[in-house]
Amino acid sequence: MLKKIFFIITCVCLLGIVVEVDAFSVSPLKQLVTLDQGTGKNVKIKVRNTERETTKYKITVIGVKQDDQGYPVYGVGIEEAENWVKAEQEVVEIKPGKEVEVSFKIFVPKGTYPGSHYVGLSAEPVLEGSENKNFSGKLISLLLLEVSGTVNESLSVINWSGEKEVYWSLNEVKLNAILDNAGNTELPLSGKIRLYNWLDKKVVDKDVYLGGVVLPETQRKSEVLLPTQTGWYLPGVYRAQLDLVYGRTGQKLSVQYPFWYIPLSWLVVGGMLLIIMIFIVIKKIINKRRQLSLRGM
Amino acid sequence: MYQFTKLNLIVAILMLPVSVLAAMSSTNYYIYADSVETGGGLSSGGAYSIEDTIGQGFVSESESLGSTYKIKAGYQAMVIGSLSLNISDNSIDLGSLSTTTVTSASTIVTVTTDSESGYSASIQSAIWTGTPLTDVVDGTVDVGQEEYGIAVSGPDIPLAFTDDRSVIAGRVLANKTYAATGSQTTITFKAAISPSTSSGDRSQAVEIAVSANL
Repeated sequence: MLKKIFFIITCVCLLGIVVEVDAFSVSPLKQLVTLDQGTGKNVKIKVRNTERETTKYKITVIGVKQDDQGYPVYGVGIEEAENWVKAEQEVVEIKPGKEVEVSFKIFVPKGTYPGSHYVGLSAEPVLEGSENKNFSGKLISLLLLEVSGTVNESLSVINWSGEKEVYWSLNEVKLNAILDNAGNTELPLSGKIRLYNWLDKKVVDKDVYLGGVVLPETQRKSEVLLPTQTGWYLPGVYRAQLDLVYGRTGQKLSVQYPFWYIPLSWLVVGGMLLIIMIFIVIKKIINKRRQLSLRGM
Repeated sequence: MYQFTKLNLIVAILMLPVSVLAAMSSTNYYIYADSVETGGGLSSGGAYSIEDTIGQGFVSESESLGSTYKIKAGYQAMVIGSLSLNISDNSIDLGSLSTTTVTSASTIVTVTTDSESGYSASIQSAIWTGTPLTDVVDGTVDVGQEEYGIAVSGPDIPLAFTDDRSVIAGRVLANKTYAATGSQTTITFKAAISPSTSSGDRSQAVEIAVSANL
């Protein structure tokens, strides 16, 4: 009997934990719509209340930009397309465990230039006794609005450099990349780092993750590390090459950074050889002087 | 025994078309989203119907020239999936601040998503009522100095966010590059005052926003 009671209490506690997580949810995660200037369309999101009580949700549209690390940045008044999308309901009331569809009207004004714009279709619980509630959260369903027309994919590398010009170990090589999307559409991006020695032999070839898509008029800063090297490499001048493939048209771009690689072991051996050579030369000079002084005697 | 196996096989074969037919019925057929267009039209068949869109088509290869191409109107796509959020405490109260201690209070943000690109949670707005406290700039909210900031902990915190940071719009609190199930991030608000800090009530409304990664 005690065991049964214990089992029931455990189940209730577990249920409590499960119910508490997932207070509300939105779907889909992302929508893409392409429209001509001067035309409109409706899109929908679904908001689900997984709380144990009926809750009101505030529906809003916010702008979405991207920071230089590739993270989304949300805000009001940061993206012109915020004004093109209107929620059809400002507040929706949802019963526990139920889902409600919310419509948004999109209208792209005449004269809008072609290109891509991100906005967030957001839902946020209206908190009771909100004067004491100072921490709140909203969920965003992303909407990528593409305005039809000719778009240009333009990516440039503003910086591709290392922190040093001479490295004792290839495992220390850390390279910084700054990319700039000067086009009017978002750019999917993939990259490879390739390392060549002074004999033009490729010694490293590796995929690098530079973050997700780069939004228009956005810079992306990335740090690229060489994979750990355990092999033996010739000392000398190396060049680190970043090969990028970007955009829907698969444009290619390559940049290089030359640096010196002088391994410590080679430096020690070279130093010892130099000391030995100096020692031999000095000894020869001393011997020569001795011989000269003996002849003089 | 042989007959029993044979019977099972026949039943299984008979079940197959039944399940397919069931999926075609209006109660079991699931259309995630429809589209209402001026150029679309209503299609119906049996128990269900859908409005479609005309002009679907995104990039025309023949119109692609070098790094430029034409986007055609009418294309629609969707990443189906959901994103859920739970905040353990919406009322963060630091109480009375002191010159001899750092006062702190925490809340836990839990995110679940099936997004393949993961999710990102950041501060959307942070608005003060009353005189703001000085933002922490040296990485630590110290006793005896007027400083205010947040610290985060959890599996999804950004790599560089290991100290105390200012509470500003755009601050990324959590990020994951793949799906998350009940991913928890603890956000701790910290404040300290100096003897010269003016007395009075202060409050800040902080709003975070969570979305799938771009």
